[in-house]
Amino acid sequence: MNNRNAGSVISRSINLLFGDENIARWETVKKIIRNPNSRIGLIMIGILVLVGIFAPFIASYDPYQQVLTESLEPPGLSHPFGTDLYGRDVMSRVIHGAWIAVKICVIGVGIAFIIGNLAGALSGYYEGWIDTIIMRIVDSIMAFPFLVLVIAIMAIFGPGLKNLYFAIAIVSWCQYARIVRSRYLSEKEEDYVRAAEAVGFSDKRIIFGHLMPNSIAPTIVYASLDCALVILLAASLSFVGVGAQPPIPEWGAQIAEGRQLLQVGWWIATFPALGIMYTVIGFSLIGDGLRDMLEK
Amino acid sequence: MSLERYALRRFLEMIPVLFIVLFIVFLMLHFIPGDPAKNILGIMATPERLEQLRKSLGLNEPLHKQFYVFLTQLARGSLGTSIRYKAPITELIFSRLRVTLSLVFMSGVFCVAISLPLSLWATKHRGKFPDYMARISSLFVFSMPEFWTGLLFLNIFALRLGWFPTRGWGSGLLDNIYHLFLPSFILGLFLTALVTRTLRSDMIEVLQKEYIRTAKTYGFSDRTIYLKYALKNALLPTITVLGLNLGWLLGSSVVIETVFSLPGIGAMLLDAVIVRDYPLIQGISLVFALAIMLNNYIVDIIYGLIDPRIYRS
Repeated sequence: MNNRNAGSVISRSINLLFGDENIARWETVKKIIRNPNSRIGLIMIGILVLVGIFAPFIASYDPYQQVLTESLEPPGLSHPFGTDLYGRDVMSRVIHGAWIAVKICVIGVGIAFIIGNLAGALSGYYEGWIDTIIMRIVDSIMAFPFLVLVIAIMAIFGPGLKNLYFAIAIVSWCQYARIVRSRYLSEKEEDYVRAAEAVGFSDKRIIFGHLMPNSIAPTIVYASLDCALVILLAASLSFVGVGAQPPIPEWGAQIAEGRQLLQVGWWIATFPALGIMYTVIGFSLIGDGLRDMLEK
Repeated sequence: MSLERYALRRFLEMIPVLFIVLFIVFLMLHFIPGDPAKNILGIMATPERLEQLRKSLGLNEPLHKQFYVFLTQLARGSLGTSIRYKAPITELIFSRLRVTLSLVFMSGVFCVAISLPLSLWATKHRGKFPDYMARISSLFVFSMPEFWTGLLFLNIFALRLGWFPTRGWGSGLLDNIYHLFLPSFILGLFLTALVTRTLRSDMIEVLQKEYIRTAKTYGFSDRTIYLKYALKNALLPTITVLGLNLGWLLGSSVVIETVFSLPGIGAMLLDAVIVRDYPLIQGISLVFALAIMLNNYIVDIIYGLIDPRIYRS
């Protein structure tokens, strides 16, 4: 009861400040927060982002600094997650890995999201030959196993984080394009689009002003699940040696480094793996929560 | 429309996609920044050797002619020669394809064998402890990177306990199955979680239908209702999920083969990446893509066989 009152007070003041339209947005935000799945997921990812941004201040050691006298120390007071073969602090490396994970999601998924939304919009709105071309390209890219195509792209452009963002984006925009296209095909027949066409609005205005706001929701749900997939994918690529290269503290690369040492130093690979699991669970929870809301 | 015509139409629809796939694979060599020959041989290569490699890869010809040569070679069943192994790529791939296909097939078997009883059990006790356990464990399986689960199992069951071999593929059918047991279990875990989830929610949906209520009022046992009436109808979306995600399995086999040192084509792909054997990378990517296209085609046909409404309309 108390909670609801607080909500209405806040929404009333927001109404005074920003007008009616933002009340609807505030209601959506409230709905997202009320769903237990997406609430927990948002908190988890929020913590991840904060840890990532403030990594240099939170981590007590330099993630690259080698102290060979402190090699392979088990978790203890001075090193809560222990140290690796070169005496680097595992906790600092895991913390810095959070920032890399955030960057992979923001850049890799971000680019895919934008390209996919635009390509899907063109395809679904204009249909005809442009639709045929885009959809055949999508079909062809999706004929490859995701991981295999990304590995091939990384082989062409060389390993490294920058190419990794790029490779992920090239491959994963397809799913967004498919989702957006099918939304547009049905949404186009709605009255509000017909009305906008009748008034003589430009295609650009109809797509960006009317169709896109009404069909972006499923792609946002997919984007949060995609972040989870992409984190796993990036870690796998770094693990097999074609993604981020050591000594970069990417989680997958760290697991690869700790792989041979599992018997003598379980902590080197285990804590980065927990980082991956934490992130993936967070994004999946957000995705599940948003999907529940969308289906209702 | 008859089933034959449906199959033919789906086949014809695949042709443009196949053409673009071939073009993407062909272009891989040309997207290499700078001079591909220099990239392959390294900066220490002599001009003669560079020229020789360019000639053997056909890089001096105009692009459309190179594509034509690529296609005609392919029509004759040749994917070129591997730079590293100095052997025909088709032979290399065929000698290792068996490992990868067995791995994927066995994980499919694992997936069905685990997810079917698990989802029925979760449906029967929905909202209770077994259901929550199934859901939570599936969330965990989703979040664990396969290579990490693989490393854990390898260390516990192969190195510590010595129950399974740590690497390789062995000889003879039984030995192969024994070697593939752990890797295929790990590879199948992700799909198992996915199928369990899909089948559970579909079963719950089907169980609310009226014909199930009718069956209940007739006094049929739970067992008959679940297995004979509900499962049959709930299985259709599950088959799609299973079929369409075989591609995911094929892709992940690359990682699993690396963890368990299996001599499959996924491990060969990574070797090829490390030594920059681009013709081999092209060949393996093409084989993966063809396998998935064939798989999706078969799934479509099976779907049509199970539910004829799909092609009749």
